[in-house]
Amino acid sequence: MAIILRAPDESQVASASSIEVLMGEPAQRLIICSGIAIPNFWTNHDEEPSSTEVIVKLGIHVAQLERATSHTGLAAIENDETNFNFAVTQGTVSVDESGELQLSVGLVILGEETLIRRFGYQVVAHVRKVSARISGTIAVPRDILDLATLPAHEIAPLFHVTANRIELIPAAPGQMFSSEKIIPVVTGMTGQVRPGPHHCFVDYWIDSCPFNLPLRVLVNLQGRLRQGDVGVGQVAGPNPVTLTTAQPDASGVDFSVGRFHVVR
Amino acid sequence: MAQLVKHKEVIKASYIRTPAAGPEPANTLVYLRCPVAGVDVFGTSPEYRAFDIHFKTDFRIDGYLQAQHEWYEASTQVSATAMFRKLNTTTDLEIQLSVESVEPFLDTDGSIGFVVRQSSAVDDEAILFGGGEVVVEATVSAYILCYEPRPELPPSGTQKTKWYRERLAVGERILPRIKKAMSPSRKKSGLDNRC
Repeated sequence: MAIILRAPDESQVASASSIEVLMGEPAQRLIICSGIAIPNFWTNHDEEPSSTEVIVKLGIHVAQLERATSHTGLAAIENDETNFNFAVTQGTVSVDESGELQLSVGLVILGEETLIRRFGYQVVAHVRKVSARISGTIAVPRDILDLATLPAHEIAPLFHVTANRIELIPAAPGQMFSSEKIIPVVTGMTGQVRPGPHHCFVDYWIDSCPFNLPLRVLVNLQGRLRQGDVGVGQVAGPNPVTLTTAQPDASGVDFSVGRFHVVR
Repeated sequence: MAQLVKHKEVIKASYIRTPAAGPEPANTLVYLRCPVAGVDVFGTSPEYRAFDIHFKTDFRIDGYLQAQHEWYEASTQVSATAMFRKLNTTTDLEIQLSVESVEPFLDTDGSIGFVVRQSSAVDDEAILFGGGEVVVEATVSAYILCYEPRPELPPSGTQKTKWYRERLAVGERILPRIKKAMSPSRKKSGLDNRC
C-alpha cells in the first residue's frame, strides 16, 4: 500500500516550496517543486528487503502535464548496527484525477530497526494551467436544506452557475435610469459538498471563460432550493471578474444562500 | 534545539541562468547546486544532536541594490531541496542521520544562502574502546526566480546610443550652408530652383 504525503502539510513534507515560471505563452508554465518528504518507512528485517511506493501530492493543479523530470535522494536514514540497504528510485511525475501534480517514488530498505525517514525531491515540469477558471463555494444553511443528507446526483441540479457578460442599456427617452442586460457566456459546474456545523459548502467552478471581459458570476437556485423567501448573493471575491493572460484564474468568488426577512 | 553553525566562508556553487518571462518582475531563472558546508561534530553519542548550518553561496543577484533589499526579498523566489551526497562510517554503528530541512535566504550583499538543518544520533555500543566515526555530506539543489537587469541594457546612468546632438557636434554642420543657399540674393539669381 502506497504512503501518501501532502506537500502543503509541514509534518509530511519539510521545506516544501514551488515556483511557477511564465514561459511566454500565457497558458504554459514551468513548475518547480522541491521539498524533503517524510515517509518514515520502517523495517526490522536484515535479510529480506522491504519496498513501498510513496506518492507526494505536490499541491499544484494543472490542466495538462506536458513533460516532467524529477530528482530524488536520501535525506534521513536510521539503522541499528546491522547490514543495511537504502534505496530511493527516481520518481515519476503524473497528474491525478483531480488535476493535482504528484510524484511517485519507490523506496527499498533492509536491516534491523531500519528506516528511510526522509528523502529530498525536486520536480521540474512543463504544464498547462487551467485556462480562464473562476471558482468559489456556495454556502447553504443546513436549516434551509441539509445538503449532507442528499445523494450526490441531487446536488448539481440545485444550482445553475453562470458567468455573464454585462451590457449597459442607456435610459430610454423619458426614463431616468439605465439598465443592465445580463448575457450568459459560460455555464459552471458544482463539485463535492463539505458539511459544516451550520452550513454545507458546495464547490463550483466555471472553465474556459474569455479573457479581458468583465464577467458577473450568478448563481440561480433550482429545485428544492427554489423557495419564495430564499435567495443567494455573492459574499466574497471581485464583481465583476476580469481574467487576463497574466491572471487566468480567479478563486474565492463565494456565494451564500439565505432566507429573506419579512419587512414589517 | 538546534545549534546554529554560521560559516563565514562563501561556498562555491555551480549555477546557470536562463531568461524567464515572468511573473513580473522576475526575468531570470537560475539553477544552483552546492555542497552543504559541513560540521565536524558527528560523534559516537546516542543522543540526538541537530545543527542549523548557515552559509552563503557565491551566487549573487546581478544588479542587486542593497537599498532595495526588501523589494528583492519580496520579488525573489527560491525552491530548494537537500539530500545526502555521501555517508561513511568507520565501523558498524547504530545511526540516525538526517538532513531535516533547507531554508533559503537573501543576504544583504545580494547573495543567496541556505540554512540546512542536519541532525544525528550515533552509537557504537562499545563498552571500552568506542570511537566509531561518521562522515555525512549533503548537497543543495535549488531554483531561483529573480530580477536581473538585461545584459543588453547599459548600466544605470549611461546609455549605449549617443544623442543626435552629439553626433552633429563631431560632424559637419550643414545649417549655415542651407541658410546661405536660402538668402534673398541667391533667390533672385534663381539658385533656389536648382535641385
